[in-house]
Amino acid sequence: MWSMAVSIILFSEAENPGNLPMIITAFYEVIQLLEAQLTKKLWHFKLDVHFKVKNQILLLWGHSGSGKTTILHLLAGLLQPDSGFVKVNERLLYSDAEKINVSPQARNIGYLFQEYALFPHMTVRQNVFYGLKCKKCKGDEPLVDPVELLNSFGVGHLLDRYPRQLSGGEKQRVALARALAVRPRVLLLDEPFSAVDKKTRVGLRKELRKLHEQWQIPFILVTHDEEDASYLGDEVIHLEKGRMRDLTTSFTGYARGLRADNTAYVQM
Amino acid sequence: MKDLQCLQSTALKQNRVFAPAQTNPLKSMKINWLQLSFGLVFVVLTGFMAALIGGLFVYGKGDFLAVLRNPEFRFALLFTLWTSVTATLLAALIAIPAGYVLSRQRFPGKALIETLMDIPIVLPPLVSGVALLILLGPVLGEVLTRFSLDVVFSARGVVVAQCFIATPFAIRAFKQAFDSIDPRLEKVARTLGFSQGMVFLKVTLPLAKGCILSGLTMTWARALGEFGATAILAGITRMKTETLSVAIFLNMSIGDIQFAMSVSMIMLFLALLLMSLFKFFTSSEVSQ
Repeated sequence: MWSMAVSIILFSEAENPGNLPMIITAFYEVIQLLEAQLTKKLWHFKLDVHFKVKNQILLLWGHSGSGKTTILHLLAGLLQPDSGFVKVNERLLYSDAEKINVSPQARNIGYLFQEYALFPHMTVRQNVFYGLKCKKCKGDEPLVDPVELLNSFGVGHLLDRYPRQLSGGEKQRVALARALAVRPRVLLLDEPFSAVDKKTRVGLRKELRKLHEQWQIPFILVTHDEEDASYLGDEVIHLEKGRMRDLTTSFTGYARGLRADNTAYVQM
Repeated sequence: MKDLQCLQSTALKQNRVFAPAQTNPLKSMKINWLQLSFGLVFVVLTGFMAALIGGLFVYGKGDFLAVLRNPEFRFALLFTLWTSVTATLLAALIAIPAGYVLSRQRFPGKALIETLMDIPIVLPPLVSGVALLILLGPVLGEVLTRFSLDVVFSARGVVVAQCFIATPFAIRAFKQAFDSIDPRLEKVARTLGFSQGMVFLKVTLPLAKGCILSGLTMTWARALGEFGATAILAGITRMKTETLSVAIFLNMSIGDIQFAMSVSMIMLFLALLLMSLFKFFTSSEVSQ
């Protein structure tokens, strides 16, 4: 935690020289918090969302084409919103009012892509160490040992394999390790279970919950699977054509019921 | 009685087994006709190609070594190699950014620009040469002369003509190479802390390497054999703008068949070499 606070200071100083109040807030802010208000015109509807997440799993749930992945892209800085802001621990990453737009490589937001997007020309080891190379060149010491991370995910023995030699579940664990190795402050997950079979899915869901408890950072997860939603979502945003429909309340009741079923299913 | 039933049922079974087999020969006959005619075309074509190359060898074998020692031939070979390599490198420098933009960006008028870039492929090389001559002669000639960068009727003109003809092939090949890379790989590298330039160098280029190399061989082959545009823009001057193609044309027209034949054979060897390079790069791409 201590070293993380230090790294946050380094970051803030680099981008806001002389902005003392912000450094102090960043220093005391150990609870991770993400707040975002985003609008963007997509070609057949307008995306308009506003949400806040603490160290929770926020679930974006909705039909395909309802703007879920777009939200993740906007948060990571891979797309630019028309207006709004993105704030992590009081640090503005994007704001149209203040004309701030931090580039994706400086946002420190982890992103697990659909089908994992492992680099096919690199081994598992190279994949996982890839992000650290740049951390080092910025002067930060590596904070997590990626090999240990892989071991804890049970894929430490696959270090010298290439992604094409891995199963869906193994790929996902490697991709998770790669994203977490750079110690992100927020982790975005785009349909993390879409490329694995039902049985693996149930196990991975459980692991992800555990992982979240260890890391204590906001996870934002996109899914259209109801079981995922009910088992993982602390907060659920139901998206329809780019708008949020009745946040949590209606769905959670339904979800809680499902979650009870689901735990039974997992224990079976 | 039981045996009879048994026999009958086996007979039925056999019938059932044989029934489709009876219709099969007819069907396979049809396929055979198709295969036969297609195969025939294939054999004739192979024979034709072999005869073509063989004819060149038989006719040109005479004083092959003497031609190899000929200073004119040596000049043409070296001149062709350095101009075509320079033209290919220039084409790569242009085609990598152009191919990347065409592959990744969407903008109004993209189809139009793509067509414009493809023009040298469909335009007769002679017309390309005339167009280049007009642009680099009367239009831009004075400016170029002031910087002592004359293009018309010089070795530089050869490079420009080859580059102009070969670049569209490189752009097409590179665009396809970049198309085959999942953009998510570039995005994930961004979120891992790399700038756009670093991502291009560390992720995009290594992944596109095989396709880029095979595209480069095709580009080089195109530049190596370029004649029409070169002849118009750089002129046909012995020992000055004399590429291998120009050497063949010059010597055929003055009746030195032996020389032209030998040079043709050299060019054939070069083409075969490049083709096998191309095959090598594309097959290594598949096995990846």
